[in-house]
Amino acid sequence: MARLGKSVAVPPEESAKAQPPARRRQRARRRRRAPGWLEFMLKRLAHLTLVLVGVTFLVSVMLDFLPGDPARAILGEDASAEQVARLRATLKLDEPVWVRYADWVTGALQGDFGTSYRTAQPVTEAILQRLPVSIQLMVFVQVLALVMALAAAIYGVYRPRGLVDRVSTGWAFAAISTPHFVVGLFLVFVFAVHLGWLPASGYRPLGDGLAANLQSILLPALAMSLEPAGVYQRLLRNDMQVTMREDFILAAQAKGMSSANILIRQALRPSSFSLVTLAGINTARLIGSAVVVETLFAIPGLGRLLVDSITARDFVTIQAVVAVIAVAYVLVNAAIDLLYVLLDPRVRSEHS
Amino acid sequence: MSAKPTGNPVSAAGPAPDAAASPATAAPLLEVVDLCTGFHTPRGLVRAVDHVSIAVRPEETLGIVGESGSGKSVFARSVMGLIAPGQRVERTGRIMFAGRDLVRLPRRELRKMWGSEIAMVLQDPLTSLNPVTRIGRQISETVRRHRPELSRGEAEAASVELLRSVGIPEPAKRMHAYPHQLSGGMRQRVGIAIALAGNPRLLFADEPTTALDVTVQHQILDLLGRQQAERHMAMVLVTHDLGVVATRTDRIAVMYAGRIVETAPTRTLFANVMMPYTRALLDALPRLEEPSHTRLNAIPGHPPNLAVPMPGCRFADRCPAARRKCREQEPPLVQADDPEHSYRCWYPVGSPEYESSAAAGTETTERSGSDQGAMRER
Repeated sequence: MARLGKSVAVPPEESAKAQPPARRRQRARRRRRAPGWLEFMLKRLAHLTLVLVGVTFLVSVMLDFLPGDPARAILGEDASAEQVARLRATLKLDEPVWVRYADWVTGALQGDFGTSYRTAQPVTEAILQRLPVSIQLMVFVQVLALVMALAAAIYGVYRPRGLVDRVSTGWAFAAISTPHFVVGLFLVFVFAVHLGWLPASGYRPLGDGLAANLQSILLPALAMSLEPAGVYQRLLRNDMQVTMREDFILAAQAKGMSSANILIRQALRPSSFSLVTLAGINTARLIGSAVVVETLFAIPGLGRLLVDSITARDFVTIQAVVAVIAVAYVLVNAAIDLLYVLLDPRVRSEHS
Repeated sequence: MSAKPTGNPVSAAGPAPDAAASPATAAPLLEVVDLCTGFHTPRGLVRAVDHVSIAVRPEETLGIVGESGSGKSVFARSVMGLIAPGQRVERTGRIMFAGRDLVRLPRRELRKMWGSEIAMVLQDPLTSLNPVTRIGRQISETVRRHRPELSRGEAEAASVELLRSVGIPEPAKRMHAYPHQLSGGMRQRVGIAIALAGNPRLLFADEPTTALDVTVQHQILDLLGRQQAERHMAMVLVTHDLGVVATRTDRIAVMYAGRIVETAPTRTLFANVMMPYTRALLDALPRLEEPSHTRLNAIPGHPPNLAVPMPGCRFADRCPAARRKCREQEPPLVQADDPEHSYRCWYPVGSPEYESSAAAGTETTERSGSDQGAMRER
């Protein structure tokens, strides 16, 4: 890509002499695709593996840090010697940690994360039940937050210090500083108890019909989205305000573009890099940290599974959930890196 | 050489009824009368443009010259009404363009004139093009904005044609390039193509060559001149470089601290400089006939702080010939021998007061020349 950039910048007389333009272009294109992408994917894969191994190995090691006999510590004083012996066997506590870990990895690679000794349910099954719910909730939260933030930020830049700008700035600070569950309780009070428009709790899967599904997810998603929406709005508004002082915005005005065009087509994209970064980090965070809202609205998501497992010292489940969340982090961050490339052509030239 | 002070300030380039030359008789395309542009800042109102009156006739080139901070760029922007969002700007006076007063025109109407009647080329072509958009779209969106009847394909064809007309080789290929992939000169050509896309009648070129290599500067200025002639456009060339405007303008207005301090047809101005500031600008240009390593005659000091109103001539603090009167009373714009030539000075170049002070200034120490000499030493 740097090749291409350079060849364009060279005065036409010189470069035209060097090679016929068609062949030059072909070569430049081939060069740009192959090594750049391969290298990018390999780097990401290495990153993913490293993070996964690190995180899941830590969970394995944690067992050894439990005081006394880990199996006894997990099961409590009331457990019988027989139960403890069974758990010792299940957790392979007599083996050294690396053997345990190797066993876990072998199983995980085949999709078998073991069986929860809390619920006797295969962990893979438990995760597959809850992951779609968590992903749906996360997507809803992100979409709601981004829509609210984009609208408020763009209008705030269009009319700085106007009514909408002031109100949305105040609202953003309020939303950022209010815990999810307070917002959730408030929303339940207004929309479920008072107005009776939406159910107060419970999750209806898509199998129960789209409307029922959407109704059940709307309040929890709204409760969780106000805080990120406030952060996004602050971030985007400030970045856009800086962009609006750029020369190319002045030039766009001078060439006669409309306000809507200037705000949305000219200013939004170059202002959205920090927003994309933050929204990406949030995506993975929202999957794991939705516990409070999941509990409040009785939604069977991954967050609750994780917290329940932690409370019950269900290491088999913890290890699997942690691995899933780590994968989500790495994948989302890789997606963000790709998104940068789409958003900013200058990154493309720097990549190779 | 002597000035003929007329009682009230003469509008520098008001229509001159007795002028004989043909461009001079044409009705002005743009007539700015008493334009004031002030910014509200925490330190108070800063008048970046202060009672400026000037006219541009169809197909004419006006050069506006001044140091940075003289208000020349603000002048160009405030004539168009282009103000960054969030800035609090106060604009008074009259800007007559095509029979309409742009100061009083609603923003909606004004916006319609941008690009199609009045366009602008900015100083730095790298920052004035959108970094994340292919130049093809940046041009064709402009073309479509001004000719909405065109289809996407037709607009693209027109954009390729525009790129070709501003001298970009292989224009169809360049349509897919991003600004950072082009050289500075190419970028400025794209900037010019975009400004020309709406076929404006008046083009503001705000320091169009300042950010470019010297070798490219000439090409860009030639291109602007050629396009101006082909399209029968008027142009206002804003620059800090008297050398740039000397051969490429019909008239020149010299700005200092928000004021026009001298204005004349280009030929007249260079033949007969009246204002000491213009003189100083000319002296600051490097000369070929002088031996190398000759020190340039930089103008000592800085332009005044516009937030603090001051009596007298704004150049007085830096003027070699300044006297008490200069510091107390601001000189009006007065006409010189040529009715098209006016300037703002009590003791213009050529007057006995100026000549004696200037001579004294070079030899240091004399009553009025002493502080002047000290400043030169800096």
